[in-house]
Amino acid sequence: MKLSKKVVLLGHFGVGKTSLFRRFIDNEFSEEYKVTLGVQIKKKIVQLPDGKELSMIIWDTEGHSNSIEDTRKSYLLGSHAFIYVFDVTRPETYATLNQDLEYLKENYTKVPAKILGNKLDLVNQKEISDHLISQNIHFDCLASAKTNKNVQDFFSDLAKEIAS
Amino acid sequence: MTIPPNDHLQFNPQIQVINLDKDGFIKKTDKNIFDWPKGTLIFDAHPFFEILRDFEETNFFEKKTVNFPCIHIEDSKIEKICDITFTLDKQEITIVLFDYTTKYKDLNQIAQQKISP
Repeated sequence: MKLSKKVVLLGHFGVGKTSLFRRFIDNEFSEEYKVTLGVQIKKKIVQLPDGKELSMIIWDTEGHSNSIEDTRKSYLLGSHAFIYVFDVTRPETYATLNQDLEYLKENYTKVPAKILGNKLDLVNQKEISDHLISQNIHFDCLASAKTNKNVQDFFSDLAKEIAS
Repeated sequence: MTIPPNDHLQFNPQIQVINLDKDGFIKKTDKNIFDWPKGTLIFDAHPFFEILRDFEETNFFEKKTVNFPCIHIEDSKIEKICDITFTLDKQEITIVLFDYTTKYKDLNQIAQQKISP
């Protein structure tokens, strides 16, 4: 039987969750901003280094405006990983990151949460990295859905981690 | 005030009821929204349903009924936005799809006008 894992994209509205979702699944990008209502779900088969296949079921959820606790609980049920996305150009989208992560750790103890800063194409990577670290914001990846920088590698690393 | 001709549809959803065995095979369904054949696996209908794949090994059905609002479901023919309810009873799962596409599309339009990053 094919291995199947559910991964949920979380974060404030407008950070680019849907753009990452479309870039990873269909390798597409659009400049047009469309609000996501509820959740859209697609799957992508990822080839693992041992030759096996992983079916990644990606849930692209609607953005929250305050805290992650606003996200509907049922959307998070049965998850194998969370991806917390923030916009590197908008500090308000990572202002609550540490408390949101704390909430996820407390309530979903076994589910890993990865942090991804999107829209890297709009900033200088070194400067934003230094800034985020100085603000006590720890991230797993800085990426750009627009240019595809680091997107495929990020998902591929995540696939290996959750498959093992 | 003029009432749009389809306004009454907004809060009177079309409903589809699907019964599954514990392995995920469709035992019984009407075809009010989607034309998913009996005897096929629900996981093949749409990736949303893959959350039911290992429900026995997780605490998925901690509560007997689980509700999922505003789920975008599409197959090769149609695209709908549904509220979906799962109920577990004696190893049989009942899925109820409520088609609120019109209501959600209207809400989406309003949200689109209000929010811009």
